[in-house]
Amino acid sequence: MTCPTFEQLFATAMQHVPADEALRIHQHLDTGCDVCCREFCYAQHIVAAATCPQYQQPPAWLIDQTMERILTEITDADEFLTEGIPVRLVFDSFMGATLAGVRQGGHAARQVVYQAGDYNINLIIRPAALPETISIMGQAIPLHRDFSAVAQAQVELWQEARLVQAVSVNHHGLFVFDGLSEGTYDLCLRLEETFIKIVGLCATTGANRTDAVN
Amino acid sequence: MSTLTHDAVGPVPISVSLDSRLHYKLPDAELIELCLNKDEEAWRVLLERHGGLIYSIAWAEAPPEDVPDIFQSVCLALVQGLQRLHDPSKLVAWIATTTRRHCQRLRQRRRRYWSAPDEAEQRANDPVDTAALPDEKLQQLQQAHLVHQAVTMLDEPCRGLLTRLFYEDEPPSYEAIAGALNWPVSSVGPKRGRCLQRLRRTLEQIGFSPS
Repeated sequence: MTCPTFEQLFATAMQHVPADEALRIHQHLDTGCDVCCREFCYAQHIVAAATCPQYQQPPAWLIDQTMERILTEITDADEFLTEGIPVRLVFDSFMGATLAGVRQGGHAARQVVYQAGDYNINLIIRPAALPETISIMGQAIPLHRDFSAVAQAQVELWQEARLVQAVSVNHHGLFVFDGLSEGTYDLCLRLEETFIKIVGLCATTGANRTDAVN
Repeated sequence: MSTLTHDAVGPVPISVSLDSRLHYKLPDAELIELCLNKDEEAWRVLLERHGGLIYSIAWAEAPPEDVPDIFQSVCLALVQGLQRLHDPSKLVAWIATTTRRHCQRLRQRRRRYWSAPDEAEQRANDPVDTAALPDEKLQQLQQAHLVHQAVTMLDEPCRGLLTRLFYEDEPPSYEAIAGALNWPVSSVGPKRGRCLQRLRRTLEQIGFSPS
């Protein structure tokens, strides 16, 4: 006989073919046809997995109950994020004030520095390589200069309760968000046991110079 | 702690809901991104897609009355775990490992609680956890899970067709399928063949491979 189709081999693996057809297919496999033997083995493997008696689905009520708890958890997480280390803006290059020892960005760039507990967060907002996009380059600087406190910490950029990007801080406290559109963002630096959240960061390199911070 | 009888948490027939949601086709990576953005529907699809693996492992490793608690604990751990999961292809492995750890912790708590102090200490130091699922069984569950996941990711009519084929006690005849889907009987075979090929492609995409 000519090679059976994958569907025929599959039906044979499931024992869903009449006995005479199954016999013909097995006779063909016994001739040692490599391709069919491989296909049949693959079909048998899928069938064995699909019919594994120990594999079970959870009942619908358990999914529903778990969904409720997950939604509560997510909501609680939002409420939690209203706390954390208090943050204050100490420098904004667009505001004209310059603190001693703080480097300035270029003409098109904006530099803002926040202080939060034992950390400074230095952000430079500048036009990115792609047109009409910006990047935010930041550095989380522990005042005691021990960068292990921030290394590998996650930094998230949120906009209207949506996570836009999340990156990790490197061993020098640096992180970069790229390809962003201008707008207002919330930036959250997640530390070991707490977090720093900058709310209402006006990420613009243009004329919008309003900024707000909690 | 839930107070449930064995019957209440017992296995239910595997089914794949045949609704028209769009999320079910998304690969895990996109689904995870939506979950991180607090998309409720994405969370539901994620639970429906991967809940079977959590449930099956818990069912195999823990007493029936503890299965719902373990299931919920692992799912809640997933809320935090997704944020740290840098490689979406590791999700199934993460779920399997986390579920087993939850089961193991539960067993250890039970032993400490129910055993005499000396016996408890001896058992706690015993490196062989005899109640743990053997790796070979775990692998079988993961393979079964991947097939179920692949079926749920298919479009209709393949999704419904293969659900009937795999997960109904008595697979329907070609005549019954043709009647249910309003197809000519002669087209059922070829269509089923095409559906199996689609299943095969999806299985390859999600990493199913014969061991």
